[in-house]
Amino acid sequence: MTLYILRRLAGFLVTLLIAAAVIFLLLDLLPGDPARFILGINATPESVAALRLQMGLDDPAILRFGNWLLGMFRGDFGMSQTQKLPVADLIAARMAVTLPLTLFAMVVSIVIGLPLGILAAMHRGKPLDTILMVIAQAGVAVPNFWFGMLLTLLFAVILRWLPTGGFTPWHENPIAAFRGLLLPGLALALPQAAILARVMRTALVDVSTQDFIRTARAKGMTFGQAMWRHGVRNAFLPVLTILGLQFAFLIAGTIIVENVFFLPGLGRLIATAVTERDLVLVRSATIILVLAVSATMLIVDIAYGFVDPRLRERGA
Amino acid sequence: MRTAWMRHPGLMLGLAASFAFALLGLLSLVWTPYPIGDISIARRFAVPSPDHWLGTDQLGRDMLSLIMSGTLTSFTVGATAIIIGAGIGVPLGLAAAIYGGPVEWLVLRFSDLAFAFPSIIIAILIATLMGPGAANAVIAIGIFNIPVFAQVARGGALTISTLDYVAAARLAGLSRPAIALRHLLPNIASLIIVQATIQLSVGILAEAGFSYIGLGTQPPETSLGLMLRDAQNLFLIHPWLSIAPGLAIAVIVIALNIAGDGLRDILDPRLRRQEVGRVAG
Amino acid sequence: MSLVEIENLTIRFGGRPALSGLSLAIARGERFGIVGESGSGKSLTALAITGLLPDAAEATGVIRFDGKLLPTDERAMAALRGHRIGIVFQEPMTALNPLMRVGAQIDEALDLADSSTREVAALLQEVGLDSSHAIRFPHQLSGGQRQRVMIAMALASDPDLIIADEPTSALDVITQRRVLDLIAEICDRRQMTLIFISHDMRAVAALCNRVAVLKAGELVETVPTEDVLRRPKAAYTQALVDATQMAPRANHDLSDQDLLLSVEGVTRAYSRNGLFSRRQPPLMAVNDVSFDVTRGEVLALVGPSGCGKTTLARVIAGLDSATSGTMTIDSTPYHGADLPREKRGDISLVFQDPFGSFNPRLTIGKSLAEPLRLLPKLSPLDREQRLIEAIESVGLDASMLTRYPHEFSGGQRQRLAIARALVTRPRLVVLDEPVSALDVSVRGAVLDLLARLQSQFGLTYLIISHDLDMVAAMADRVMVMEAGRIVEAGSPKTLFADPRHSLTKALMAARLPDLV
Repeated sequence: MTLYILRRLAGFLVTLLIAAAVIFLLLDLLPGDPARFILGINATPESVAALRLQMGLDDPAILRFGNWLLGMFRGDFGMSQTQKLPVADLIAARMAVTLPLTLFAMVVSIVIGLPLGILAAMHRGKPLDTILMVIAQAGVAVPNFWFGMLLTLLFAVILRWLPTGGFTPWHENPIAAFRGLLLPGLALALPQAAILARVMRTALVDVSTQDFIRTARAKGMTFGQAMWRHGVRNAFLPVLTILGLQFAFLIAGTIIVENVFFLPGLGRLIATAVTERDLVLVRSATIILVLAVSATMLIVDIAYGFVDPRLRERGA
Repeated sequence: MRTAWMRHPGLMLGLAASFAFALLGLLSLVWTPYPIGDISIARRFAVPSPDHWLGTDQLGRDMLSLIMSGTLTSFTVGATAIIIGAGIGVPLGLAAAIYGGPVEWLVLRFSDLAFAFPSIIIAILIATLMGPGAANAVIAIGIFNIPVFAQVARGGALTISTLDYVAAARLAGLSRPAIALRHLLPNIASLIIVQATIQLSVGILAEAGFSYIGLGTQPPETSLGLMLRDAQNLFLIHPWLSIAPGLAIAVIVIALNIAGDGLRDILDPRLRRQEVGRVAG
Repeated sequence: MSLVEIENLTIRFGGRPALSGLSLAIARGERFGIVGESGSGKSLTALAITGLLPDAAEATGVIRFDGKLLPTDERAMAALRGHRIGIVFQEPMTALNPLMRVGAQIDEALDLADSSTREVAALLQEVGLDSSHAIRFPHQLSGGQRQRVMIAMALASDPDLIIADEPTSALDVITQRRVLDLIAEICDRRQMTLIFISHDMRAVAALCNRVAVLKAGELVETVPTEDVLRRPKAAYTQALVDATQMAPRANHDLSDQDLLLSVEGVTRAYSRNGLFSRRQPPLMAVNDVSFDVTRGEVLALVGPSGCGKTTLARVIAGLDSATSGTMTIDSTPYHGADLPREKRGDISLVFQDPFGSFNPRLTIGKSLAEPLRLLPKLSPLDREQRLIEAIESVGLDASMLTRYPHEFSGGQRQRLAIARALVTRPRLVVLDEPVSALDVSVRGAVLDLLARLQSQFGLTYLIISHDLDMVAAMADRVMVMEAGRIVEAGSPKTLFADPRHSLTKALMAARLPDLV
């Protein structure tokens, strides 16, 4: 098992290093002169030279790459050119919105999606299954930001239960902060719950035809008992893969959905950085997102090892 | 096989609806009820009427015309991204399966790396470099599609290549690429078609999202996501502006998903047959 | 009174009957065999008795267990299985939950049977496994061990009836015999009723007192075992019995023949080292093997599964390469995959599984023509002629060349695979388990075909098999392989009459007794 985890960890670090290299290549080398790129064509030579000096652009590329990596280890992500603030502080402030939102959406989608998937599989071919899967089919197809708009119309405009958008910082009023994340969280979670329900149902239906389910029934279990005791755990393996990928989808979704609700999250920060060509900020924000996605996949891989004895032995 | 198509009403419905939307989009190239750029403040925020079936937007443009044109953008972006994804991913997956060793290792590491970049991050990077645009969405979704198709192709090809007819072909002196073309590709084609349907719907959703936050299609082009972006500040007063394009996205994606599910049932009936085969001994 | 009574049982799938009007009565304490080929409905019968038929099956008729109708309520049926019926299925690889320790899986069966006295360790001992195996996961056990675990689970409730559905057909010969003996011994000791389902007449004969013969969903006859063997009434039963006997076919005078293939010190090693794994010695699938093959000879290579015989066949045929050592065919040396293109037509390979050996998307003609690429000088007319010659030589019609693989039965496909192996007019044909995937009744015909083709075209055969009877009938010379090495060789007569090596002795001892 230790070997298995070490291998996964090594793969994770290699992926991360290459990802950082790709981002560096795209944002630092491809634009030619990043300083001119940031300042635009009308910049004076003096201001370009000054920015070059500030960004350390006169150093060789490999040294800059190394400095960037080392800086990140120390928590120093550089200075935002447009906002004149440390990138680390900017990102940390926005994470207070984005991270709870993502986690909340993840939990809600699991709590709703998995039980409904199991319910549908247990009633395979019956009306309940059909109804659930029709709902799931619709849920998968609905764009989360549009769903957010519909939720706002219903709960904020018609029913007036919740705010239409905006965010109260946690330290000012935690309850108001949570209320602000409720609708965006649901908008993110429900389409994901639909995907999870479908995957869970398919996995269970596949498992239900396996020989060991028949063996369990031969031992004296009903089909339902056999599925509960032997089926669900085996069906959870493919679901685990989807859970890992889902985190990436949720991050993408968060960036988009923040716009619907005017949330001061990472997504809005990045959107501004893109339009203002703030290369340092984009560079750091994207590597953090890549880190989050890869770390989730690492956790899923390790979880796989705990669930499946065949994997942890093979070490592969 | 042919009767199986008929016996699957869901598939017929899904395919018919998907094609209908695609045709509606194509039609917008030569004809829309009103010109896309036809701005008229006088008739803005019109409710659906015989003149404007789906009403008009904040600039008085005909919503049906916009949706037709936006549908074309959705399908074009989604389909081009599939051509990129399958065009690169399938050969990569096949190469990994037939050569194994270092080639396979490289393809797998590339897949790991690509999966670490959700398409929105690629879109952000490209938009930072080249500015937003529909091409941006195509490339971002296309790159995201590559490892998906590579994995499907590799998985399918690995299963097929354990079969004896592949060994027989090697004995007959066929080269590895020849085996991939003659024996592997035709037998994984159904898997790839099913995956393409799924990726088309995923791509259409992603394009809408990118355009909505301003990374994708830019005016004067239209896209369903862009219509929702335009409606962003008005939808609390004029909900219809957001409901019509959103509903269009959802219905297109539902049609594609139903078609994809149906295709999988018909093209890949292994599950059913295995179940019968096992007990018929 | 009968323990199991079946009256007029019919099972349909989508309206098509898979089992029609079956009536059987199995007495308490009886060891009852159900024998039949694939598609005979024998497994369905077992599933019907245990209430485990798939949802798609529509069953009519009456089944009584111990005088009472099978309960229709799912819970009651499950309880009946848990308390009174033990079942052993065919697939030892997939029949156990891969995520759960086997001890826990047996324990679960004890729970469900409300059994308070028996313990997991005692059950494991009864099936001949050390109690330390309880903490293992299924993938850590061999096929035979897993099947013993299955038997232990079936015994957990101390059932009245045990049903074994092809319990040994996925196991190798030696293990197969041990598991059969174990089942017999347990039935004796516990006075249990047994329903034993198999395609193998000899296994049924060795184990059962009475046997029902099924064919294509219909009962052919039900008779005491001795009668089936001595005086089979139905022609089909006679055919099944005949199929277990193999008349000798080989008898070649090889004294003045020259050398065709020589294998010298061939080794195939697989490295087991990964990037981070501890250093392990390489796995020697084939370990320093040397032998000669004379022109016109039938040479057989036997051994248990995993002994390396298939790897050796693949190296010789040019699919895989030797790590060291050389082979020489017609004074051309090669190491496996480097077999020169112009020599590839001289060696061909017939695969075991007739269902995987043809691309479902190509016509038979296209598949058969594939090896002709090795003979680029052939004119289109000659190619056509070769195909017709090949397909007719295996007793099939030239019009079949335009058909697709799914239109053929397993036996026909194996004939087509042989035809494909012959189109290049090879000198050496390597046959990897040529009949073991086929139904018993067609095996004889395929072996006859092979013998005829051999004398007709002057072929040399290298037959890979685990089936000693087939080998004894076909081969001029036999080599016995164990763990990558050839441990004994000789003519089948002398070798089987006086085995020296412990493996050969074990293989001989595992043979089921002859029927007549």
